[in-house]
Amino acid sequence: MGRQDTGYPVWDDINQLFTATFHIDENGRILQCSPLIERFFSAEGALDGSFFDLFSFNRPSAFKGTYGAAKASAGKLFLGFNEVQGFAIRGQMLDLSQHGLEGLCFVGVPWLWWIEANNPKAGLTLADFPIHDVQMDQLFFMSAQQTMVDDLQLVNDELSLAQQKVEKLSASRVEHFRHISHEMRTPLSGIISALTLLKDKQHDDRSHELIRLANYSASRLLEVINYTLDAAALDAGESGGESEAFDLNVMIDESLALVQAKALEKGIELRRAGQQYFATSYHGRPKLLRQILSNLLGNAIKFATGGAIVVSAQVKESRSNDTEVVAFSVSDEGPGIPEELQAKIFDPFTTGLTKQTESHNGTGLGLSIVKRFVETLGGAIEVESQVGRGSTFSFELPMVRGGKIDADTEQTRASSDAACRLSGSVLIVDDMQANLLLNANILETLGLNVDVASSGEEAVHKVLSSPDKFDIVFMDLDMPGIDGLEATRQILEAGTAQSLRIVALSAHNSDEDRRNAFNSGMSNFMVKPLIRDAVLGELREWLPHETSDSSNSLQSGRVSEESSVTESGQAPEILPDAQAEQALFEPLKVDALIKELGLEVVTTLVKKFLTESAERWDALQKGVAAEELETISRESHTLGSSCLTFGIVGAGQRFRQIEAQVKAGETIAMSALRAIEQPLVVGIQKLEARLRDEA
Amino acid sequence: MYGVINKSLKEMVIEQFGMERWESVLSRSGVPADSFLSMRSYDDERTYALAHACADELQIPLPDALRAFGAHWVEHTLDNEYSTLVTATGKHLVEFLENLNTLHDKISSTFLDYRPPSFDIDQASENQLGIMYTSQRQGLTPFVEGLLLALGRRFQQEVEILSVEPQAVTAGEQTYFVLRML
Repeated sequence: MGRQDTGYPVWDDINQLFTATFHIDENGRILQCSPLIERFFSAEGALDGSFFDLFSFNRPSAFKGTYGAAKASAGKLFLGFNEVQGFAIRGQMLDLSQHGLEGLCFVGVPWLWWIEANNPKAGLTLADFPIHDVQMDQLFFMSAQQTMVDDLQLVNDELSLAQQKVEKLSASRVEHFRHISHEMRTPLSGIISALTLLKDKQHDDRSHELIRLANYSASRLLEVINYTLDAAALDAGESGGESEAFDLNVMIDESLALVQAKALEKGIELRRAGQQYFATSYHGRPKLLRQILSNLLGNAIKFATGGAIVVSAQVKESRSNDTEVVAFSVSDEGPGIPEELQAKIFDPFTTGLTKQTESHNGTGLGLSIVKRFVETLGGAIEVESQVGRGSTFSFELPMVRGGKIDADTEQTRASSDAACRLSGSVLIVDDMQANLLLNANILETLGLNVDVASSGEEAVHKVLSSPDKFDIVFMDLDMPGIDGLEATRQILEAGTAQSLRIVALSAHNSDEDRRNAFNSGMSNFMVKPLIRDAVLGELREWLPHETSDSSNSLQSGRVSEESSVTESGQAPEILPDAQAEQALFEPLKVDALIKELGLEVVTTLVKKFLTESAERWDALQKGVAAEELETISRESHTLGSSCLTFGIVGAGQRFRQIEAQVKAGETIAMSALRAIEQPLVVGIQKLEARLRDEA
Repeated sequence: MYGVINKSLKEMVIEQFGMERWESVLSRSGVPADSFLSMRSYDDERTYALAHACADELQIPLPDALRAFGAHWVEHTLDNEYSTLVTATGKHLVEFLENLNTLHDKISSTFLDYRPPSFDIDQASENQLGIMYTSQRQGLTPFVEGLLLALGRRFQQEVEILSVEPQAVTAGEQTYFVLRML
């Protein structure tokens, strides 16, 4: 078959616009076709049959492959293919009878996608498609899209690689900072320990001032180093303490107790807001939260010159899954922060210094690390401040409820640390002689028998050769030769020192170090430089300690519960008068304050306390008379704290009872106040007498 | 220019001279990053900066660097990433060159900021082909030289460039090439 002129007047025009064309008669016979079709079906007789036999059609849907069906489907898309020739067409039918002509005309193009899939070597080129056909455009577009996908995958891989490099570099930098900080903190611990000892000696005014200056500078340097270590730990993804159950009431009270002496010294009232009592414990990271509160309180005290600092904590929202959102705030009546500084007050090395406050000269690191800690706990911190009116730092944290608080867990530990003297033998292990001797000196001032070892090997030898000699070993972790972890293992594996406790001592403070220490069998972990009160707090848990000048009896935090009952089951006999006296006033507390702040300062503070307590006593009485629970809670809390600070323990504890009763929703009768009068008066008289004695 | 050009240049330097040399080229060029997306349009200045830096780093004249790049463009980029299109554009060198403008026209309908050159072909004699290259960009004639010779190799048609005649134009660049088909 060949082409023949069928007289179709626009046939040439159609072949300008389409490259796959057929003119077929009513029997399906191909009368005419385009050059491209002739090229592909060039075999003898290939085009002699019916058009409907030449192609199989999958469109139109359910197409019967007859002339009549094709005519009925004019205007629809036709997709036909010839598997033998590896060729396919796409296009539509024109019904020529409408123009008074015979047959149908198929106008279309090669079906590119079918040919690409079934006969990729067909050799079609751009010239085989009309210029307006978009199949080639689609092909290019899809190639380009695939290239883009490949490009994006490549970029993604490059970014991943770059991220890995950055993380590796960051880890290396963090480790470098940590190492440097450690190397700085170790000698600094020696300096601070030496200054602590020097401070207690007699000096002329000039020397005293120089020591004070050295102490201040060393403290600032320690603050910077601690910040660097904290920041490095956060950068390294360390969580900042293990998750554990804790009592938020106790934590807030502890945070307040830590800064109470400083607040008193500056005449600042320190209190918790209103009736905020948490009836449940929480699971979380108390180490971080404690540090946040302590930093905010310390900051407020640093800049305030009077007025009150109020800590508030209350449940803002209860969510499902035992989660509550607790809103915290620390408000002061200090100088305030200028508006232009508020936006960057949380940036490192930024302080809210003004001309009035610049004498405080902080490092500007405390708030920065507070912000990072708050963010680590899933919250955000903000500040509201007015110059001359004060500042409020507030943050909200999601916290997981832990369970009911045992009423017996009320903390009283902080009450008498400063007045304690210990009894027992300790071994300090440190390869740095200066630290060794200075720390030994500090422990000796607590009344302990102290032995030293300058290596892990020496420590193991000393303990194992006299298994019963030591009660506690302070073991430095980082030592040449046998390190602290290995020395601990060897001592514990020998099994001869059954009651010995080993406390880790390290300049590092990472979670990993802590884990390693506990895994090796150590009982606790302390960070160098040793702080006297922290050591005391640790040791009084395990060693017999003397709690009162007058009684001179030894008690033990651990042993007292067992030994307070004699073998016959009777309580040990204590003289009633001495017992009563001790129950009202603890002179060692005042002694500790005098030792820390000096007699002159304490005398001034006591005068201020007496004036304020008279006013507060009046306010409390009025509150009880009017049944104003908030007033009763606030005044009894403040009076209780102040009394306990100055050793007036009898009255202080009763004020605390009143506070607890109010929080539990009980009403307070005036008779309860009258029951406090006597212990309060006696306590004050004894306090004044103690100051006179000291003078 | 589209990122595929910059990407191809980067691949050429890395394949022939190694990653360190490419990093030096990138550093010399002042181009901030070398993660190019093929079909994203980048400032022409970026491509020129890379080409100049490449010549400086390899201590070769810029035209030589561009000729090498033209060859790499055909032998690696076109053949690897757009082989279907190259095949569809022509079965032999002349057909390919004759259809090149059509291909560019079609690409222009999809990528709206595409500014391709044009190649107008005349059969000067049985064995000679005249090609008028016209571009809105300047300085890429050596690139086209490398490209034409590589296309000859691609279609197994040995060719020789008999003449390269710059044409006087008020903007961009126009060059008349005469190829001898061997």
